Amino acid sequence: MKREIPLLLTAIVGFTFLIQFFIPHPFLRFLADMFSDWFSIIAAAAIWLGALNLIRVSLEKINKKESDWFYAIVTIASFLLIVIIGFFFSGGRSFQDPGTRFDWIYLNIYTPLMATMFAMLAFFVASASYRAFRARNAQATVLLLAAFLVMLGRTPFGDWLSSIVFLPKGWGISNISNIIMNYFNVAGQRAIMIGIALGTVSTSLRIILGIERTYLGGD
Amino acid sequence: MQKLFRILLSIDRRIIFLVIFLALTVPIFLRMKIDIDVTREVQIFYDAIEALPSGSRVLVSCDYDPGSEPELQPMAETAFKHFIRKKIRFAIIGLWPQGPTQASRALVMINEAKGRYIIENNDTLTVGRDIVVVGQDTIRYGKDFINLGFQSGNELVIQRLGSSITAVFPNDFRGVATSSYPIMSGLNRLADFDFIFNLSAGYPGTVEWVQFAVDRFHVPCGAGNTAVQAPQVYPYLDAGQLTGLMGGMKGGAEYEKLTGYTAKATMSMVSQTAAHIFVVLFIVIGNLAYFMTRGKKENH
Amino acid sequence: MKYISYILLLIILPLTLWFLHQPERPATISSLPFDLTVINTPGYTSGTISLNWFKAPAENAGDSYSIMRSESPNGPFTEISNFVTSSEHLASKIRQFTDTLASEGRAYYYKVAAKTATGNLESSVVGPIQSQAVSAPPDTTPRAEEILFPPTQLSAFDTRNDGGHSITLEWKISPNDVPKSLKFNGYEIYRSARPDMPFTLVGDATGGESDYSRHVKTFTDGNDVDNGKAYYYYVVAKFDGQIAKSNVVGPIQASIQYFHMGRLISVLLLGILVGMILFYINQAKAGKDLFIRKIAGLEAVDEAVGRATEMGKKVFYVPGTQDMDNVQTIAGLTILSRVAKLTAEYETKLEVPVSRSLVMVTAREIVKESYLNAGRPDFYNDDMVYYLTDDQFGYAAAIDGMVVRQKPATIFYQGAFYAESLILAETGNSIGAIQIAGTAMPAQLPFFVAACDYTLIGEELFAASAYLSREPKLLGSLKGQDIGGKLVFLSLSIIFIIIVSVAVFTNPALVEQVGRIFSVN
Repeated sequence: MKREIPLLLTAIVGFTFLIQFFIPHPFLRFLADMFSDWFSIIAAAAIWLGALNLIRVSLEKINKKESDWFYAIVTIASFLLIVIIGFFFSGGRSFQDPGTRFDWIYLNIYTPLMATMFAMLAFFVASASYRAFRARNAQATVLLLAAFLVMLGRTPFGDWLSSIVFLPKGWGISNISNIIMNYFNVAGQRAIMIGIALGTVSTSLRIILGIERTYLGGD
Repeated sequence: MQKLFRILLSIDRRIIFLVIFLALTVPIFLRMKIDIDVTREVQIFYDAIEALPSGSRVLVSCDYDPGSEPELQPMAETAFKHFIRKKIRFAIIGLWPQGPTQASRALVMINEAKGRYIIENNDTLTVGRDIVVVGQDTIRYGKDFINLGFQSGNELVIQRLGSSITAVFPNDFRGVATSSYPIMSGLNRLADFDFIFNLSAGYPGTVEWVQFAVDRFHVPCGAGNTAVQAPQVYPYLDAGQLTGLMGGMKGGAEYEKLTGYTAKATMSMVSQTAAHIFVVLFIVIGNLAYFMTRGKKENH
Repeated sequence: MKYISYILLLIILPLTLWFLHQPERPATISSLPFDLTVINTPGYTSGTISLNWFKAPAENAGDSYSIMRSESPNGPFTEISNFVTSSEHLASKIRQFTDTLASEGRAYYYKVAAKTATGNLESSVVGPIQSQAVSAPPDTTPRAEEILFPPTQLSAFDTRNDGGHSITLEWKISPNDVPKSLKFNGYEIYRSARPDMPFTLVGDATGGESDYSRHVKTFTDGNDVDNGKAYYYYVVAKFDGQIAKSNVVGPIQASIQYFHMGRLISVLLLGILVGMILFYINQAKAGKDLFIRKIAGLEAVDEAVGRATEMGKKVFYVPGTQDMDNVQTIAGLTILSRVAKLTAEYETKLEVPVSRSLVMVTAREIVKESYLNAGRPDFYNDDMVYYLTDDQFGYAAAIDGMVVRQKPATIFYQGAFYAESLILAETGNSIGAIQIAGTAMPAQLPFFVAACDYTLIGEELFAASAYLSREPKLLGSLKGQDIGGKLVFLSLSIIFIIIVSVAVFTNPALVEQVGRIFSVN
C-alpha cells in the first residue's frame, strides 16, 4: 500500500486537472482549485521541514566540529536574527513596510547579497566566453560570429560601429543582432521547446498512469 | 612570441574578472553618457500603454527578487511614472515573495513629495506609501493604486485570478480587506483588467502569464524581462501573444528614453557597453592565441 | 500499410482540424468609409437629427464634407449643408452635424461625401431615421458642443465554454469613444429580469475596444447570475456630462457547457499523442525491440562516478532549484536514482544539496531505496540529502562555497535551473570537476554547454529514465512521443506552414483563420 496509495492519488489529481481543462463544470473547477490549495499548503508547511533540517544539520556540524563548522554558525545566527527581528521587532503584519527593522535588513543586507550573486554572472560570462568560444570547427566559428554580432548589437557601440563601417540602413549590427535573436534564435528555441513540451507530456502521462515510479523510490 | 600566445591562451580568470570590474565601474564614476536607439518590441509596449485611456486598470505583477533589481527595478520605476502621468490605476501583485516589496520600493524611489507625512482631510498619509507625487500628479493608495501582496501557487494563482481576485487576495499587502478599497470596484476577475504588466526574472513569470492570462482570459500583457530570460519569450512576442517586451537593461533604457524619464538604466548602458567590448576582446585574443599555437603544434 | 495510414492521416487531420475549430463571433457592422451614424438629437423639443462620422483619411484644414439627405434610399439626394474642416477640427477624429430642418414624423436617409486634396470619397447611405423629439436623459448637460452618440449593436450571449453563471455582452463602441479622449467616461452596464422592471447597475467598463479585429467592446457579467434565469441588458455611454443608452437585449440565459468547444482541437491532438504513446508502450510490452540513440551525457554517468571513486572525492548531485511540481525535477531525480546506485556500489561519497523541502523528502527516499537495492543500506545516511534554502542565489552561493572548499570530482546538475546555472557550472569548472548537466530550460542550456563536459538538452533529460533503465514500457513511451509528437505534429505543421505561406499573398484572412485553429481558448 506504501506505493499504491501515492500512485492512486497521483492518478486522481492528475486526471482531475487534465479533465478540468476540457470540461468547465463548476465541480471540476472546484476540485482543481482545492487540489491547488492543498499543494500550496503542503509546500508552505514543508518549508518548516527544510528549515528544521537545516538547523539540525548545522548544529550537528558545530557540535562535531566537522569541516567548515564556522559557516554553520553563520547560517544559524543569520537564520535566528532574521526570524526574531521579523516576528517580534518589525511591527507585526506590516513587517514588510518601508521603515521597519525587517525592511532595513532586506534593503541593506539581503538586497546587496542577492545583487552581488547575480552580478557574478557578468564575470562568469566573460570567463566562460573566453574559454568556450574558440573557432575549433565550422559550427563553433558560426557560433562565435553570432556571439560577436549579438553582443555588440545589444549596446550602442554596435550602432556606432555600424555608422563607421557605413553599412546600409537596416543592416546595422543591431539590426543583424535582432535578426539573429528574432529569427535564428527563436527558431532554435522553438525547436527545443517543442521537444521539451513533448517530453513533458510523455513524462507527465507516465507519472499519472504510474508507469514512471522512480520518484517514489526504487525502480 | 609563442610564449606570449601560450600565456594568452590560458589567462588566469582573475585577470579577466579584474578587467571586467574596471570596465563596469569606471564609466559610472566618470558619469559617461551614450545615445540609444529604440527597438520595435519596446516601442510596442510604450504604444500600448499610451493607447490606454485615462482610468484604465492595469495589473502589475512583480515576479522578481533583489538579484534582478538592477535590470528590472528601473523598468518598474519608469512604468509607474508612466501610469501616473497617464492617470492609469494599477494593482500590484507578486508571484515571487519579494516582488510586492520591490514594487513598494519603486514607488518610494519615484516619489517627489517631501517630508514623511501629509495631512489630508484629517487623515495622516505616509509619503511614498499612502500617497505618491510625481510631477503634477498625485496618486493615493486604495483609490489609484493598491498592493495586494504575494500569493504562493505560481501559475495556479493566475488561473484562480481568472475566477475571482478577492478569493486569491482577500486582503491587501497590509492585511486590510481588498474589497474595501475604491479601486477594486468593478474589478472582480482577471478579465476586468485592461492590461497586464509583468516584470519577470524567471519562473513563475512572463511565460506563465502568457499561457494562463493571455491565452485563457484574453487580457493583453506586456513584459519586462532580464536579458537572460528575454530570448525565451521572443516567440510569444512574434506570435502577438505578448504586447511589447523590454529585455534587460537596454530595454529599460529604451523605455526611459521613450517616456522621457532618463534614469538608472540609461546611466548603466555605458558600463554594459564597455563590458561587452572587453568580453569580445577577450574572445578575439583567445582565438588568436588558439590559432597561433595550434599552427605551431601542427608543424611539430 | 504504415505509410498509407500516415498519408491518410495527414490528409484527414488538417481537414478535421479545419471543421472542428470554434468559429469566431461576427464583427460589428460599420458603414464604410466614414462609419456614418445618425440619431434623433436628445433634448430638443422639435425633431432634429444629428449625424456623426469619422474624418476622411489624409484630411486637411479646408477640406469639406457635403451632407446630403433624401426621403428615399435611392435618392435623389439633396445637399443640405457643407461642413468645412478648420484647423481646430483637426485635433478630433470625429465630425458632427445637426440637421435642424428635418420635419417631424418624416423618415430620412443621409450620406456624406468628402472632398479632400487626395480625392473624393462618399459614404454609404444610412437610414431610415424618423425625425421625432427625444428627451435628454436626466442629469445630462443639454445642448452640449459635442453630442454623445450611443453604443450600438449590443448583443448578449451565454459566456462560451464556461461553468455557467456568466453572460457576455458585446457592443460597438460609441463614436465619441476615441483613444485619448479626456471627456469620454466609459460605459455602465444595466440588467433586469424583465424589460418592464427597473434596471440595476451591474458593472462598468472603460472606453476602447476589447477586440480590435472585430471592433467590439466586451463585458462579462458574473455578478450573481443564475443559470436558466432570463436577463435583459442595456449599456450606457458617459461623455462630458451626457449619457446615451444602447438598445435593450434579451432575454438571455446563462448555462453550463459540458465541454470546452474551443479546446476540441487540443483534445484531438492530445488524443493522437497519447494514443501513440500507449500504442508503442503496448508494442514494447509485447517484446518488440525499440531503438534509442546514444546520449553522450548519460553514457558518461558511470565514467563520472568512477572518476570520483578513483580520486577518493565526493560526487555532488544538484537536482535543480524548483519543486516537485516541476516535471524536470522529477526527471532529474530519476537520474539521481541511477547515480545513487553507482555510488553505493563503488562506496563513493554522495551529497545532494536541495533547494526545496519536498524535493529533500523525495530525494531521500530515492537515495535510500537505491542504496538498499545495491545491497549497501549501511552506507546510507539521511544527511546525504540536505536542505539549504529556497532562495535561488542563496542556494547557488552555498553550493559554490562547498564546491570550492570540498572540491568534488564529479558534479551533476539535473533539473530546472535559472540564472544560477552559470554561477554553479563555472565554479565547478574552476576546480576541475567533471560536470554533467541536464535541463529543459532553453535559456540556461547555452551556459551549461559552455561550462560543462556533457549536457542533456531538453527532452534528453526526460528520456533519461527510459535510457538508463531500458525498461520496455518507458522505451515505448519515448517512441510514441517521437512518432505522435514529432512525426505527425511536425508533418501537420509543415502542411499548415505551406498553406499559410501561400495565403499571405493570396488570401490574408485565411492566415488568421489558421491561427485561430491552433490557438488554445
